[in-house]
Amino acid sequence: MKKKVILFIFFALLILPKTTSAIEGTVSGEKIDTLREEIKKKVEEKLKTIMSQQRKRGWVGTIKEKTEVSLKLKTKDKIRTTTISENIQIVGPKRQKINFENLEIGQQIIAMGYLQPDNNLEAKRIVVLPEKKRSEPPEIIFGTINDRSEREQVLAIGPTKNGNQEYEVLLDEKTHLFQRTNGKVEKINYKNLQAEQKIIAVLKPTKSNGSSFNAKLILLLSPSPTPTLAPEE
Amino acid sequence: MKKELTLAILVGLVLGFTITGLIWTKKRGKSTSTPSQKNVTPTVTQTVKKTEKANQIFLNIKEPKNESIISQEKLTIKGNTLVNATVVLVWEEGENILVADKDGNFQTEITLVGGENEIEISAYDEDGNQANEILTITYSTAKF
Repeated sequence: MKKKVILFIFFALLILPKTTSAIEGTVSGEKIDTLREEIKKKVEEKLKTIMSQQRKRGWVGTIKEKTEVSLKLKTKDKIRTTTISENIQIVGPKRQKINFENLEIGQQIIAMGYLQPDNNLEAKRIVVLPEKKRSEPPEIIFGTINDRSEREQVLAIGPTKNGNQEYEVLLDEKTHLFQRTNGKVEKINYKNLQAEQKIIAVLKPTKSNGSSFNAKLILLLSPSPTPTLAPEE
Repeated sequence: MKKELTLAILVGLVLGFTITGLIWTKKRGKSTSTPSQKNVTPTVTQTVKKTEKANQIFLNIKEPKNESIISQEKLTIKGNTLVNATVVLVWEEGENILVADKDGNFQTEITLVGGENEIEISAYDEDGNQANEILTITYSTAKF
């Protein structure tokens, strides 16, 4: 009988803790699994959104070839293929809805869609750009002031890193003038500009003359000469 | 005899429950202390040091990616170039001039026009050496 009692106590000691911890373990394990699944689901959804956003692209180019399901576009650097998705929206130059059949070779378009693994674009929306006369893009130059007019706000700038051409640069009230001092950019006036100073300028060719430019922005790189007092006589 | 048996069962039960209780309390204490321990554990961050050729002008546009479609009028441009380089941005509606910070980073915000936007970004060192990037960004609020 004593043996039975000892055996009973032994089993009670052995089984009870394990049973409770096992029950507890399953409960917390189930909870963890549910949580893990929920987190996984949310992370996957977020990743999907981010990935689709990252694959969203807009190609600007001229239509070179057209098939029933694709377009070949001449973009800035190369010729690329865009496939047409089933529910594609196509907007004409006057913002009217048009059909794929209305697209013509030579038209400039923006193809919007998603990049595919083969680097082609699956277009979901196409916008035909209106034929507008593109204005000359601004030119950025790095140079030295060769001459500075006292009467008018005109500078002769050159030679520059962009070539040996000398630029006749006209300044007006719209020109932004800045100077670099101690790593900061500060506003200056025309009178701060002197010959032999280094500058960076954003220029637009004038309509009348191809060799003269309007300055949109000038940044003075070398410091302005500090005024020195003339020796007293 | 019956008394002995009952007593033995009781003792067994009491002992069993006491030990179970002790183990359970210990385990609970461990599981609650785990997150705080996790918080204390230092996270190892890998810092990638860029090896730039000294004084050689470069330009790296971090944001946005070329040919991105943006649904907001305001666009933040972030990039990296030579320390203290001058950065010039020219786009359809304006131009801007910046100076890269001590780490070579620069950041600015521009306003886009509807449709195609071409943004020219140039970085200059003090000798006029230049690095250039052109971004084509589409501003469209259309959903597809």
